[in-house]
Amino acid sequence: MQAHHRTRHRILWIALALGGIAILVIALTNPYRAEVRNLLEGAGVEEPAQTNEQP
Amino acid sequence: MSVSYKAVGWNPFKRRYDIILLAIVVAYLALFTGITLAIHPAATVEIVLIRAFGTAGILLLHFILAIGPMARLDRRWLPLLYNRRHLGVTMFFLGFVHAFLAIVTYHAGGDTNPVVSIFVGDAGSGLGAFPFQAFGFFALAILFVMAATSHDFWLANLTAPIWKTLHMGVYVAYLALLIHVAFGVLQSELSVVYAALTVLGFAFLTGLHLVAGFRDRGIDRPVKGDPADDGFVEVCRVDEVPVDGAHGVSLGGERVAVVRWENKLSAVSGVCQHQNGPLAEGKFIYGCLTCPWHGYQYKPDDGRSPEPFTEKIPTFRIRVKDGSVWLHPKPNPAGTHVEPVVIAS
Repeated sequence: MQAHHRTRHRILWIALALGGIAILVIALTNPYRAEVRNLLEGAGVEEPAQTNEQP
Repeated sequence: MSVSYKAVGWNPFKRRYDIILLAIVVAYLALFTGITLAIHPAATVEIVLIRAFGTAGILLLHFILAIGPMARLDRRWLPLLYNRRHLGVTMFFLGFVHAFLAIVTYHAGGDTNPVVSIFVGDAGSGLGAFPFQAFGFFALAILFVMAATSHDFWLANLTAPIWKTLHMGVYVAYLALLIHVAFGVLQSELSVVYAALTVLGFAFLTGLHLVAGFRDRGIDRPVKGDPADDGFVEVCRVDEVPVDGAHGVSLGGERVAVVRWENKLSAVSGVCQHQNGPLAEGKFIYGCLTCPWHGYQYKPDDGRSPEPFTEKIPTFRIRVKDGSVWLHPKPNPAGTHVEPVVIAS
């Protein structure tokens, strides 16, 4: 029972670790991010405009 | 149960602990706000505060998640583990203020309900449409449930296994917050500091858990040797069990604590009923094996907590032969008395 419990925890942690790596890789290498950063750097803006505009 | 359990367990140590925690949080918020406004004088105060509370919450969450494995690697971290819930509740409040300020700043000016706007306001193009705010909301909801059920009242009423499972949700909340940060601020933040800290924080936590896990693999290595005809298995030498302490072994996948007390030997489950703490690493206090994590106590001969507490853990049949300790791998029902083996002093 204890061993089963620990195995479940280890599977959870491995899944979270792999999920975390995938999230960071996708988030930091996607073309949208590069596009936004290029625009901001080109415009000399520190942050993107944020509005309260509703869809 | 705990050595010093009280219905309202407030004591000078906890007060000092909370005052120090509050002072560190306030100092961080003040420093972050001051430095950011000094570097970016054009930044609005509300955006700086959103970031100050957000980063304070994320940093505190990393610290909270590091305490568990750090305590496995070094016992000096145990006092922090004992009061980890205070950090968790503080972290929830930091996240709540961050969310409140963000909703007021970005979602309160439109026709849509501000909370609904969190879920529909990320519309855009490509990954810019990713609903990163919804993940922040989801994480905050988990942290709220954990903060609201953090008191021992809920631990006692929900029972330890359910409470512990519920509070393992912090890992899901962490993953949701990683998505919130990675697909939120990191998409448009030009400074590499945020991205670098996020990656380093994730690598630090993952590495720490891996190292602690490898250490536990050693504890879980099953004892070798063939069982006797009656099923008993030789688990260790008598002199390996410290006086007034315990020696941990792994038997049939179960952690077992062989306890030596008053020239007697007993064997109980090596897992505390409270939060699965490592009982075999506990000390022998007031006639009981005491969990190093939160001080829950069990009598070694029957695995029961002293009156009036009702916790109980399985016991194991034990015998000593030629200086070796032998255990039967089948655990007795929790709380079953087993006559201790008397050994020479």
